[in-house]
Amino acid sequence: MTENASLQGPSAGSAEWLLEANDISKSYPGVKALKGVDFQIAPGEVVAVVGENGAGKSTLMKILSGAIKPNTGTLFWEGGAIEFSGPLDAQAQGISTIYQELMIIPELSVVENVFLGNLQRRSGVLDWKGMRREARDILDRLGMEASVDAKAGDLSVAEQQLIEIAKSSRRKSRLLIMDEPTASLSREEVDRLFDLVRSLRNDGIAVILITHHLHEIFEICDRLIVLRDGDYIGAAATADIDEAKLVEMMLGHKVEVDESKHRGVVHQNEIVLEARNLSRPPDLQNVSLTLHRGEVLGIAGLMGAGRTELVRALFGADRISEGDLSINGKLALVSNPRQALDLGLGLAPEDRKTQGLVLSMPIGTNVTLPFLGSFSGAFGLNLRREAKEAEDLCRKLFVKHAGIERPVGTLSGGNQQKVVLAKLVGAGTDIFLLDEPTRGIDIGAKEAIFDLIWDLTAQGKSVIVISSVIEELIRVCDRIVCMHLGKVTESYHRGAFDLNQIMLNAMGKSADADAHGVAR
Amino acid sequence: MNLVKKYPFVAVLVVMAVVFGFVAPSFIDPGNLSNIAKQASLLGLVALGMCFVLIVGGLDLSVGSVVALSSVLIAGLSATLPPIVGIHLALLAGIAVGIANGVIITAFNFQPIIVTISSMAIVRGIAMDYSDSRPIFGTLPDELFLLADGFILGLPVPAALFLAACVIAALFLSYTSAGRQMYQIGGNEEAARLAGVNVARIKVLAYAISGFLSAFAGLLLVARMQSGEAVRTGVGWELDAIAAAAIGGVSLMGGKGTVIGTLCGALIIGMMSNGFNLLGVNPYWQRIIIGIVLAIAVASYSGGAIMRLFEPLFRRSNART
Repeated sequence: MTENASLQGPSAGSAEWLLEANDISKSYPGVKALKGVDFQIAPGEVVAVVGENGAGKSTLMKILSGAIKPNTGTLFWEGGAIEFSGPLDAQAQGISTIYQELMIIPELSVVENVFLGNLQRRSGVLDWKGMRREARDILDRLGMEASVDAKAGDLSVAEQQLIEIAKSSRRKSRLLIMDEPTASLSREEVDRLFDLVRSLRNDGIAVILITHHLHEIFEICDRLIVLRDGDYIGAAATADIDEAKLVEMMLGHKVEVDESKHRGVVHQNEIVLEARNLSRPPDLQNVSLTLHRGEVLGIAGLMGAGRTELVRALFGADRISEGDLSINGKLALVSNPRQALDLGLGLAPEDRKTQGLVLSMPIGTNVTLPFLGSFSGAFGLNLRREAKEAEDLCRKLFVKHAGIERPVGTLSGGNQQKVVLAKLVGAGTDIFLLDEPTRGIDIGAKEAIFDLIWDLTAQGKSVIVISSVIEELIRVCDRIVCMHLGKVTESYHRGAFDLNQIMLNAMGKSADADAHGVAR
Repeated sequence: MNLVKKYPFVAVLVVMAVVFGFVAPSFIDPGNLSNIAKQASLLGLVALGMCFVLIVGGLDLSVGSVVALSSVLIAGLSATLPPIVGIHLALLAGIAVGIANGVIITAFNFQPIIVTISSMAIVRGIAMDYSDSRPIFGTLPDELFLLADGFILGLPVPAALFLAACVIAALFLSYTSAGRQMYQIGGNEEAARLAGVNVARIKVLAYAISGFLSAFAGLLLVARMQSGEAVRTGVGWELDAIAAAAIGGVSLMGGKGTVIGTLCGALIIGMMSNGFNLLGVNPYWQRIIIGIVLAIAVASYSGGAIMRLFEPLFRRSNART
């Protein structure tokens, strides 16, 4: 099925395809990023590009959007061979790309962002009235309620994404490339985005989607192509393939999941962390929480529900206005991260790039960052011991690297996350606070992170994990609490996990149905 | 080739020395070389302090004013106090300015450029008030002048002191927690904070080091001028110091920079002004050329395209050795 000839469609340069790429190869010094990849997309089609990190998805997207040129191979646009001189050229043809890192200028208003690089003039001065009206029109069509005069930085990620889509629709795009658009969206926001994608499809616009959430592919895409290590593995219609088969294509082997063997024992009578009435209005309101030794506690909730604020408060990264915290039964004052680290808490922050790692610095020095002082001797830092320790930790956590002296920014997302975890392990953490540890990393790396969490609990460590993907929490946690609007709304024990219940609760729709309405 | 890539400023330094040596033979007179060393050392000390501040992601525009304050304090206090006491007080004053800069920047989260522009003005004002805008001769002991004219191990004293400061600074940056934390803070302040680094303390330390080294440069300047002066001393040094650091590869975005780079940057600037003086290039053109060199340096660190132009040059010189 994967080499289904009928899916290859018409021969090269056929006018049936909107965009077609034939035998594309691209290599960088020392690395072959893409080897002979074929790709086609027809108007009104939604095609997923699937593969693990490092499979070459981004490289392919960059080639299709004109950001880089392939070494060999040809692109055809509506049947005619074409060569893009740069991203602007591709844009002029009608190809828009929405990158994972949104190209939004936070300090500018929504309307300015929509018209970025293309401000409209009327008799020599900027036509704000016209631009506002047009932006409003587009945003209404996209179902965005926020004011066009709002500061883009004040909006949610989902709304910022809509700004990007508005930008591309202004340019009359015919092909929209979306690189992990759902990575930081809540389930509801994803639904809305997909509705939008469907309406784009009905207008004959082609959409290329990159996502790590496989179920989304089956939900929205017509076809998919799979890349692995730069190789073209195959293409399939989503109707002809199931998730297991897709994972096998991505990884090149089957994944065995045996959950029972990993799980550690929860020591119900040993409370390692107890938070009472933590408050930091409006983000946190009277949050109480207990964590037992060996327990994996999940926190479900929408973005902005107070999940991140909660773990940051526990870690002393943000001040709280009320409430107290006990660690191992003793009242603890945690007013800065140093104190938290000394008490055995460790935080893997929400955004590993901006909060977890110093990207410009080597892998090794990132690993030892929180416990650098322990290498101090009479003659300063013992660099050899430090390097050895970092090397050991990287090995222990299976960080794939080409030398710990390389900048951490060169690692894939999954390996970067492992470096963040290595930091915590090295610092002697007993209570792990993991904020979205699986965001933006591929299946293999996700499994490795789950394994690690289970290993830690088997050693008697305790873990609090935040995730927007409730299925993940259900897999990995012993207990799940839901947060909504800064409050803990419900708590579930393993055995009583129910995906729909938890999801509804996380969206603030408890038993009393829509009484609260939907957050934000 | 790797070395050239890692330390392009060393290559620039060598090429420049060779070129000047050819076109202006008096350039390589021992006397002239020691002159360059002396001059570059003063700027070098200030640039070294700037290097610390830039590494933590800050900026210190008050350095020139601190040089001036230190010079008038040392000369002025020598009239009433033993010189050694006056010198210590002047160095402490420099440290105090640095601490004040750092504390205000970190406590209120103000922008370094604004805070140090104001301290630049305030400190210069204090120095001018103290000296009444006149040179102060005081009663400086003859031993002090050895700091300008003496030699240690064949090196002029200022150069020897500067080199010593460089060695200490380099060891500090790579072999102490505080030094390494400076890079972490400059590279990603939030990540450093969440990893338990006391960001405010380390930043204040960087500014204090800058204040100290500037005051120390003031001391060497008094030794050379045999007086202290507040109006013209150190004017524009903040920009020269930033230029030296930038030529040496220190990033103004923070988190990147080396002592060896700063050292070479200071020497490059020192050699240029000396060499151009020997060649009789007028001072305006000197500024223009320094500006161009700075632009090339910045371009080469960010793009590397310019450096590729030099590559064949270095391949050949490598082959010869």
